Amino acid sequence: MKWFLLVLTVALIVVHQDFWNWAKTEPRLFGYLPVGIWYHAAFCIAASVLLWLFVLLAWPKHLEDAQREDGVAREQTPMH
Amino acid sequence: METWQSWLPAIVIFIYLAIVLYIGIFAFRRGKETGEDFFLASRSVGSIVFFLALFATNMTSFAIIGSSGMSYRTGIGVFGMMATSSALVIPLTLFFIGTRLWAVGKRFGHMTQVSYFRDRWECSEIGTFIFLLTAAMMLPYLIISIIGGGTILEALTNGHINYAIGGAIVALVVMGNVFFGGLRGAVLVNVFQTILFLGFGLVAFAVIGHKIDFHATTDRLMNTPTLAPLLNRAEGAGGIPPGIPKLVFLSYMLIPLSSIMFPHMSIMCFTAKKVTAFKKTVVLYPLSIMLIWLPCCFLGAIAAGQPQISAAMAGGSEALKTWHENPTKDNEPLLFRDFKSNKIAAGVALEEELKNAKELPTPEEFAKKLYPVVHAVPEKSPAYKLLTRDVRQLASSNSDSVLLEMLKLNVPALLAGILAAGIISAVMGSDCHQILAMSTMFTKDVFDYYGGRKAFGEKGTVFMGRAFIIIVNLIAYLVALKRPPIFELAVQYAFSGFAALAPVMIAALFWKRSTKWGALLASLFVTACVIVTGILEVKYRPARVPSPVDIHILDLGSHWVLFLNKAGQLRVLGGWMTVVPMVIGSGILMILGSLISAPPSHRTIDRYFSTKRTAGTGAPAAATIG
Repeated sequence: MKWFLLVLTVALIVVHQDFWNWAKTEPRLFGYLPVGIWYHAAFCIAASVLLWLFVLLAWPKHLEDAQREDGVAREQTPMH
Repeated sequence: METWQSWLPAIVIFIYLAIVLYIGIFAFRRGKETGEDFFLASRSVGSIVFFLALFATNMTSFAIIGSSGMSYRTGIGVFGMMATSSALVIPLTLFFIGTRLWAVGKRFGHMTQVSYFRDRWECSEIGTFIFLLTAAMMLPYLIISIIGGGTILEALTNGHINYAIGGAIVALVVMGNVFFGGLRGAVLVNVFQTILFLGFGLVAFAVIGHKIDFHATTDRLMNTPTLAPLLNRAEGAGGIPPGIPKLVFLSYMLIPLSSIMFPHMSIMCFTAKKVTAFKKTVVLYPLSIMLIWLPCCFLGAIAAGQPQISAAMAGGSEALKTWHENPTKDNEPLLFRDFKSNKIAAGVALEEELKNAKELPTPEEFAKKLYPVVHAVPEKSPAYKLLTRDVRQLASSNSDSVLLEMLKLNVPALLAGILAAGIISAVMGSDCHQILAMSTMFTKDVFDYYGGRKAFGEKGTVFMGRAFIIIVNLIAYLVALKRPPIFELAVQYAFSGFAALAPVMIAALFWKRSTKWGALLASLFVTACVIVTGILEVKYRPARVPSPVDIHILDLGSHWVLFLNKAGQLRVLGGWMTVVPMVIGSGILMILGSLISAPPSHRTIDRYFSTKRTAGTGAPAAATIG
């Protein structure tokens, strides 16, 4: 599953470099948003989906159990 | 003639600043009197507040003013280059690094990166060095905030509150919030600010779109050969607009690594009540970046197709003000010279009127005078092209004001004030955290660590922390008075340096074999790169004026190894940004330095990487950080 997420991440990095859109303005979304803007807006949505998959499939659950270790000094001295 | 309505936006801003100060005082009353509460809100920040505060911490005036200003000069490519690379990389760093940082903070009580590095690598000096390096690189970030605040207040009040006073007001309000409320105050304010500036993006887009026909404006830009490239990333004729080189676009994927290394971001990671707070944060982050950056970049770029806005920006430019204070042939704007050389009588008369006026008109009044003069010239004539180019050149020197001029010219005064409060929210949201982070680092990692608390007690610690805030703010303010351009300053000296420190953090968290010598080598390398970049840029392009050609510094045969591009920025190996060799070099030195030096003790490795059960508590296995 982690390999799948890695491949997706690399794919997203690759499609971010949309060199094929470099000198293009058309097609314009809603008649005014250039392709260089709406393509990357779609990229943001895809990034959000990717991170959701990371949370779903690769969440570091073991970190949830982190507790303050015995013997570690805590900052309790008054500041004022 | 000005009316009281012209003061409405400024009045709204002052109400906003008063609210920010009040929230700080409110937080002061609710806080506990402990260091952990003042610096980390007792690690009690819930998930939604955590996301809103972290996002506000990361968004600066750069996200709104810098991005729109750069889009005005360069085009919409700024959105893809900076925003969407951040939309992917920053949440990934929060997912992998932020969560682990939280865990080491929870387990061992660390409050700063430095405290963690010192313990992780059993060395106090590495921590001190990294403190000095990160504090020096944080200064540009503080400067950006003050510049942003001063720019907004000056533009909103048409200069009645000048840039210097505006910057001072923002700096003082932020300091007040931090002094009274600490991190709890900063976080509470962030909730208010994030909602405001996320709302700003949507509302500004909708309201301005109602006034300006976006379709017609983009059509106009596409039919103007000198402006059409603003709607894509290609370079214009003669390098105007400059476009975005593909290697630079690719290089920018590394810049967002800086985010997790900024002290104020990593300290925020320590504040979450539970690690699960990061779940919502990483999923919502890319969407939030889109909500704020897309409107700013689009509006900034299409402002070039709105002549009144360009004229107003030109009217607020430093070049015009400098000429008006002391008109000479040398500082006469090109616009006025071309009025004369093309025998445009109305333009020559306008210049005389401005020269003889006691004070310059407001940018909007200047636009009303200039626009009919320029547009009386036949559109297809060479003189028209020349004059519109001259106006744009003046406007580009004041490009950071583009969004504010769009608001002032297209939106009712009250709404413009609320929207401007949204802009200033982004400025101040991170400024609170930056200042507090500097204070936390100095107080915990230097003053307390080297015996200050033992010698001077708790009151001495507090005093030094606050004194440090004042001194650093003063230095940042004095530099901000010179008004360096926001975006380029940030990228050059702050982002690249912090991004190049990411391998150090990654090695600390995930690689047992990493040592203090690897960290020291990598940090020294980053320091050297930042200094050399500054020296080369000043030596080879001292005036930092755009040049028609690149300047070669080092060539190997026909290959360009080091050169300054036309904008005076250092590039390597054919066009990569310096962040690329810096990150790669830092990573390599981290690895090499670690492998040739003795590993940390077993005690430290067990402390940070063991999966044994914590003796005597019955608690589950101590969380493996790596």
